[in-house]
Amino acid sequence: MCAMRLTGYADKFSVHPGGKIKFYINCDGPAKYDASIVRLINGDTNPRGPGFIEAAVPSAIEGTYEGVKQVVYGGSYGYVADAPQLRVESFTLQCWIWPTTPATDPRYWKHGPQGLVTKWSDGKGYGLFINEEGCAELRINGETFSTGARLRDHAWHFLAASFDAATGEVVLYHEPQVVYALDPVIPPVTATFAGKIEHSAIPLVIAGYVGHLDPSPLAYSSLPKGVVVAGHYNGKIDSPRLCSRALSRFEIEMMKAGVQPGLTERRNSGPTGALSEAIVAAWDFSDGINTLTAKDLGPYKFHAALVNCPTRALTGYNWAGTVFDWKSSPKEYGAIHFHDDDLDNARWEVSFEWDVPEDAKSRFYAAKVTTSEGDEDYVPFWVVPRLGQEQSKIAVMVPTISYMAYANEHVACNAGGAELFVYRVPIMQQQNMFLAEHREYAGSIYDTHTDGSGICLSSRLRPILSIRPKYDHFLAQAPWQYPADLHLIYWLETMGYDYDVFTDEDVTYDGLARLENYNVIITGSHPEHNSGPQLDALHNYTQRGGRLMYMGADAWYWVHSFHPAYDELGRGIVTEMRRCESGIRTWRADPGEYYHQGTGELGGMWRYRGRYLHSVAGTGMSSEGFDISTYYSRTPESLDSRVAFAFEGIEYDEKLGNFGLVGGGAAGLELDIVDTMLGSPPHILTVATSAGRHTEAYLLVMEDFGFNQQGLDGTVHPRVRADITFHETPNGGGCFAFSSIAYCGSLPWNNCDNNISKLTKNVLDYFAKDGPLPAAPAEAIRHRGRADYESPVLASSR
Amino acid sequence: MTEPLDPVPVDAELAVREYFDAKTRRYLKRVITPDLIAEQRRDPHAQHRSEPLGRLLFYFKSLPVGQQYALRLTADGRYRITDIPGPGERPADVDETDYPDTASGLHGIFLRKINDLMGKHDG
Repeated sequence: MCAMRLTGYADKFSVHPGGKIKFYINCDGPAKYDASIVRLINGDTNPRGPGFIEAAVPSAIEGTYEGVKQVVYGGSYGYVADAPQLRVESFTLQCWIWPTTPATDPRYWKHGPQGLVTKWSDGKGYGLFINEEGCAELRINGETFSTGARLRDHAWHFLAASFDAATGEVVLYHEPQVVYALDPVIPPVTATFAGKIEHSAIPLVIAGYVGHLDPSPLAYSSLPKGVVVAGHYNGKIDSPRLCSRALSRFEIEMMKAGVQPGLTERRNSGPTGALSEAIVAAWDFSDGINTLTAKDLGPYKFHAALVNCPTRALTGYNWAGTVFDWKSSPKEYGAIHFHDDDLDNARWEVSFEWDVPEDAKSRFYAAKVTTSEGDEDYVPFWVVPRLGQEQSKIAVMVPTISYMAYANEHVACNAGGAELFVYRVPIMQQQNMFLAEHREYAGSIYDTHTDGSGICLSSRLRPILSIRPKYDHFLAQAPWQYPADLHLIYWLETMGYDYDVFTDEDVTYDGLARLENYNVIITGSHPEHNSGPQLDALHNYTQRGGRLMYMGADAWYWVHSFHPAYDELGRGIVTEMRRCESGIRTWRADPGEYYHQGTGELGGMWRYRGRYLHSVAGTGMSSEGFDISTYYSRTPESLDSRVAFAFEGIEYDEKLGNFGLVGGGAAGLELDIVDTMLGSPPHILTVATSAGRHTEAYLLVMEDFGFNQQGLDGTVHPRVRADITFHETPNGGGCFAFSSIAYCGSLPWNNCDNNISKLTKNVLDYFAKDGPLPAAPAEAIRHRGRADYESPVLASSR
Repeated sequence: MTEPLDPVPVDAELAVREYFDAKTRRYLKRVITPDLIAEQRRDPHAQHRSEPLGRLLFYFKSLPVGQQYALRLTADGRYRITDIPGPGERPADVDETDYPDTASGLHGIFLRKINDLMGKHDG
């Protein structure tokens, strides 16, 4: 396999027949590449399955294109265009910072000085920095002034620097907010700079500095176009200020409050009449937290454009620990956390675009790009019917929010705990190797930033190498998410079903209208990450008689929202998620930082917002493990006449799914169980289970136990299992839950001739019929308790 | 500012961890035997291991990231042992040994970690 010299992405996940989709291709090396449109049918190269299958789709884009290298400029920052008022003669710069990597190892990918507030480049200008040794530093032209005291990481510090052009006096302050008993005093540094500030036509940058100007096409994807920012800062910045003269320490203290027009008689900027004449800019990051603008409340309104979506809604230097929702006290949330590996948009030039024919079938598609030297990439997308123009009675809901959550996941290279996590040594593919080296492609919501903080935002406007066919994930050593869902697509195609596809984002934005014209909705194998509107739509659908086939496990788990600041670029550009106090977390949000910056809603698990996982399709996540899968056995409840339709042609004692392309069985990876106390309806039928067959690599989820204990693994704990369930919903609807991520991997086995395929076909045929499902027998309609067990009080009174 | 900076302080937690790890290694060095190595080679995924092998594997799995390894799938479908790189670095092969399958690769990593363990001083 060649190095990954071809990478690309599209402007959309979903495109309607008659719509247009744009593709952005980086071709780093080869002079030419070929492009075509294909339908993807199976993405798994496992020789024990059907193998990789694609189908050519003739299109006008088919042809040879000039290879053009395109670069990702990662790392977040803010910038303000050059202006006369920013070309100060004297100045005072000040801000609060909470650095996360004040000093980096020389081997670090972006080792070097970090810009805080700078209008400096190439030895001209001025700015506050952190130098390579981790100390606060002021730069004026080519001269540097430093305290010589290292900044403590993950702690607030107040920094200020002034320069008086008339006297040449420079003063630099570094005042830690927390001072421990044995910390030395850091006195202000005073020095002299003889000369004038040399200004150049560059923007003022927050959390970086202008590295160089590049008029070549390679820098078109940088912002501002052609200005390449370097010295990305890792950490929080709060309340930066710029004044046009050297302030006294007392005046600097006054300026911490920022503009305070209410305190001055004439309602000028404040905080005092004298200071209001000196203010150039006083940014207040607590204003517009759900935007991509860092507001300047000063007289010139030098609002900074934020690039690559730094994290907001984070606690500031003044957070008191009494308010936990930024909307309730935004002034305590005036910090922005910048990361040197943030990315919201690769901003590449369009390489080609496809006008989707009006008669295009709704399916999984991809733009396929190849070179004569063996390079290859696929850029997946989905053709989705317009509302009211559905093409089938069956639809697959493609879990694109979950794809985005896992986008460019590289936990194997990112976390020392990967081996403990998966219970064996990670095995890396070409994509993992590439992503380890190209951190600018940004990570997933499972990864941490390079500074160790959790990634809570994920954009789809970048090459996402995990949403690709022919890709085995290190967790499963098999397809996961997108390529795993192609197992289902292969099965639908092989079994001759007609079906539509739509994505999570379609349901999020269209609501029930996206679902209600289908007789049955089929999920993907692992729809773990969901928006609130999507769950609302699913509930409304099943309550109104819709049928839901839940084909996987660990679904409806995490709260997601699409960041509204990107709405003008299309649907679902950036998704946000916060890992709060429970759930399976590869990182944990800090205190006070549980609310989304985009929508302001509480993040974390849906369970802790009162939406139990089990209430959506009948079962919910109970355990996970990543070594081997196993099979299901039918239970006595499978003999209930209510569910007889599902087991036609399947003997009672058959091993269901003792085969498969994911771990060798249908029950594996992540598993769901029935639990009426957590939202499974009381009338649910548990028709098959894998209880008692999992290994010690399978562990109970942490939200299901309150204190640490032994005996949580699959060999001993009764909740480590997968349950297949059926239940009716009102108005002739129903839900069938298969409850294992590995389930779909058994569908293609033996050319789809197997008992998992038969079970799935029985259910799909039953659910896809027009009209309501047959009514349950009269004896099934009775009063039920939630758990059908005796109250502990009654039991103990015997 | 010509005065040299104080050295970067050592994380107190890491110092205590090293104490714990050294104590663990003293035990593990006593129980690593040809039989134990053969037990891992027979089935790297087996779950009903002897207690010494179980403890050795837990030690290996919880090593800091800089002391971990991964397997890399090569273009011809074999496997090589790599290190776990820092941000922006490509994983580097630790040697040029090709392993025909994952089981032999996992055993290769197991042996390498034993070698690393035996080379450490334990106070």
